[in-house]
Amino acid sequence: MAVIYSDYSRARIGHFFGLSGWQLAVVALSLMPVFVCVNAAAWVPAAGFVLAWALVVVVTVTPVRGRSATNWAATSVAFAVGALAGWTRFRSRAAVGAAADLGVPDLPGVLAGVEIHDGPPQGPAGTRVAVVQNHTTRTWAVAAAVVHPGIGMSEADERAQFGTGLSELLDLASRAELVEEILLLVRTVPEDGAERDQWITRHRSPAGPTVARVVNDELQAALTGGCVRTEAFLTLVVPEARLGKAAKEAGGGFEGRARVLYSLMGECDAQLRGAVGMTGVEWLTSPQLAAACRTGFAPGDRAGIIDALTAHTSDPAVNADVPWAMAGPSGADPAARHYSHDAWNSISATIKLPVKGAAMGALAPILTPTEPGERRSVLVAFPIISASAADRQSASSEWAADMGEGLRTKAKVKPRTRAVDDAAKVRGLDRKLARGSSLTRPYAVATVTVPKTVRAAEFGRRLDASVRKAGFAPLRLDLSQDAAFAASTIPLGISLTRTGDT
Amino acid sequence: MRRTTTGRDVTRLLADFGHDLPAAPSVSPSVREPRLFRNASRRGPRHRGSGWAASTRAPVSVWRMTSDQAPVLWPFIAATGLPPTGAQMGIDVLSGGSFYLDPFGWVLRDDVPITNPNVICFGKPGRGKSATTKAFILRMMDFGYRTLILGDPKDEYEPLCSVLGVEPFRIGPGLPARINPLAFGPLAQGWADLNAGEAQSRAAIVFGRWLTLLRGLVGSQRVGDTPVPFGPVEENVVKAGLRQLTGYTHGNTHLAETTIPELWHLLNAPTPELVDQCRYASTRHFLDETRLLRDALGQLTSGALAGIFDDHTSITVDWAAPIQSLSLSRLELLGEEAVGIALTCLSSWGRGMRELADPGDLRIMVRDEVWKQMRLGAEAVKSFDGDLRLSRSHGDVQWANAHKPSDLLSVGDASSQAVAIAKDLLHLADIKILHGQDLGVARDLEQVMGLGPIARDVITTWAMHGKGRALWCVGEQQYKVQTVLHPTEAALTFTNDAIAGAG
Repeated sequence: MAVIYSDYSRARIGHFFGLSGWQLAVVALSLMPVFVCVNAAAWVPAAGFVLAWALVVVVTVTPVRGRSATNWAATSVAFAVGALAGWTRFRSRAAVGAAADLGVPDLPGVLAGVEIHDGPPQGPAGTRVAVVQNHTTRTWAVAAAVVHPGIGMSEADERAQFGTGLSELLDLASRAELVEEILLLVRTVPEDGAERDQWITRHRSPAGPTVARVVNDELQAALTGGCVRTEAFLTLVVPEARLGKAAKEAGGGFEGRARVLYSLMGECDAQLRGAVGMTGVEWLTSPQLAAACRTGFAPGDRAGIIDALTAHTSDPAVNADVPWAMAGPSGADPAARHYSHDAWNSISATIKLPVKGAAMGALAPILTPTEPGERRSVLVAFPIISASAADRQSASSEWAADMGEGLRTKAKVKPRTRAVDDAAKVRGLDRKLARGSSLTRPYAVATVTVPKTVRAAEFGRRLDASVRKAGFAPLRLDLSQDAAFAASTIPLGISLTRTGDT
Repeated sequence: MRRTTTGRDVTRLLADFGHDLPAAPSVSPSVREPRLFRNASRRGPRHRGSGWAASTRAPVSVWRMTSDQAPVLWPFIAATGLPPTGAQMGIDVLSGGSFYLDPFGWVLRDDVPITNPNVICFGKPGRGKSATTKAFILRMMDFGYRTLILGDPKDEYEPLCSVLGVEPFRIGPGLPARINPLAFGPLAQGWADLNAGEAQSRAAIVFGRWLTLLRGLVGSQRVGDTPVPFGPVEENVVKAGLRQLTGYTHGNTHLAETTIPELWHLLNAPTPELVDQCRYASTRHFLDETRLLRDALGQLTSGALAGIFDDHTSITVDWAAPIQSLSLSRLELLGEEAVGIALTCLSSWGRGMRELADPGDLRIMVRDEVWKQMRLGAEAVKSFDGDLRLSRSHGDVQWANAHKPSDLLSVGDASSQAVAIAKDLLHLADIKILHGQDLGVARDLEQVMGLGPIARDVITTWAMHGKGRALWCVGEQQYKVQTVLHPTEAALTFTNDAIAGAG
């Protein structure tokens, strides 16, 4: 019997009654005129200010499609100003003929602060893993291409075993108190047949029967267009605030940081290959990461990269690397409801979990393209909350639950089922934390990418339908399509919720 | 008051005696680490063409949970897929990827968990078993693979042979084609020039193959319900007989090819040398002790084997042709046992022909209706087992088609050695293709192969609802695959000619 996971609740991002700092400030400040009027015994203006205050509260606090009305207004203005000023458009330096250093990443928006370093050589092959330094969020990241056999044919106990492996991975990261976020990214990409073409070129026998050749060629032409390929990446994100001290003990500087990251990779690798069931974990070098980045922006470029890589094996003069200056899009134009990059359009949506819970593998429909040429990507991010922060959050939630329950009892209000369930979840959370589980605040973002020759809106609708088919609810990330795309498709460790308080 | 120096200090004193104290280390001024981070905006630079992000904090739905609930967002659902090498067979419906079959390529790779290239294909009649087989062999011809159909009981491969311009060898009573299962094959080439060690090792291979065959053939004969025994005594007699007939005993420069009837004649009229070699007191003693063996061989010579496998090989096989097929449809009238014996003889002969195969001479050996061979008994199973074990060294993909696992398990009682070997056969084929089956058979498969309920349901429901659908087991991995046929192949693999008119 498949396990249904339902023991989760909406994460309260705010710290004060669920409000963020600026919301609380607006609410408090807008209440001031009321107090002034009451103090002056001006009751009629006080009543007017109370009404105005209520309006301000509604506009500031009530979320509409993920944002408050104020947030919508502020973001829309920022978006309009950015678009009018030409800031939101992206034209790569290479595209305008201004790329000076090809090794320097030239990426748009939230990816602009990324710098790629080659880590020190490791292992018998002396592989230099790419270390991603994000100057904007002050984090370090390493990414791996992973291969999992999937759970499509796994029995319930095997699924449970893989699931436990993932939980243990998060616990492991929590105990080490270094990794702040683990990002799992899966891309279902239209098959381009690049490797197949290479293999056929090398293995086809000139003496083979013509009928066999015709059959193979025609089948390949018919099948390849309709098939997909799965690419999966895992990214570990470590903030400088946590890494700095450990790095100093390891020699300091970039080298020290890389050494600590390598040790984390080793721990993570063992867990991934063991309980999580990965059959392949390859930590990406800088050229591999650049290729993953470029194919994220332009899926159609993969065939050319594979051809070059194959040609490079026989002729070292062939340049198979994707320079970081060209790893991004040559041009990108964010729109309110989609993100346009090179010859492609993408639409992203976040996924709301159902109250009744879901089984492992329920995301399957979201990763399944509906038509040839469509690419689906899903990012599942697990920000890991430090043990002390988790304890604090759990204690305050339990206090709030007790308080609510006490007030209801005093007011003789019959508690509703949902309130009872929520209180039980809060107490269960505390129990689990006390027994060694770690706390995480995950989120998932799904993205569909289609060529500009087809209507992106239609495929956005299909993505929403797939999310609903999977039993979840979609929420379009409008006005943030560029950031959502970067996080959900490019394995550079971009977080959409990082606040620095975890 | 000014102090006056009264003598040497300790440092000076020690220095005078040749011991220099180390100087106090100079403390290097602590250097601050250079700043690794620069200040940068989360939205990116704010100037034209920079891709500035209007909103960095997307309103994502964030959930709070303990780590044990994390699998609710498990994203690794589809298998990444097998490498795109070998024959493109169809679609892996779980991942939506193309599915390729490349037995040797997989053996050579570390990322595909198989160690032998053998394939066993199970399926109810009409589920697409033979279409999958033909599609595979045709597609692999493009990559230099050749095919040998070691017995085609229903002439199913004839259309394929015709398209490839090859005429199948027809074997049956009254037909001119003869096949000698005791043929030397390429191992006898250059015998005169071999050194002693090489000659001995080749002889061990050849005599070993013949003994396996004869054990299988004699073991297929029965006294009541009991198979004719072929123990160490019989083995010794047969081995001595074969060595004498070929001239190996006398160290001949050229070995003579022999046949099963010649062996039978020798055992019926043993030479004193043979009697002595087999440690019998007299010819009479020899004849008395080997009666059952001789009669069993006699039955074969005059019965099922007569006119087919009782003389020197009369066909010349063009090993460079893309396909060669040995048609057995004319044996149907003689019963299943005759077909089984023929399949056993052809297996042995085929194995002999492949010994010393050139490197890179890759061949697919198709064994259709293998269950008929299995029914001959434990010794026939052992013979087949031997073929499977050698596939890797010979460069052969052994492809066996059967209806259901009980075909393999019907060779003996539930706990018998034969059944144990038959079960092992399944493990000698790392690639198993399971087409649609009824629930009862699927339960057998589940038990014998250790499949789980999900795999069983795939076989009994999904695979039963369409031709060419099958569960493919590649090592421990399972894939739901829909074979896709090219129109040319669809025409070649149509096996319902007999009832086509009813449509």
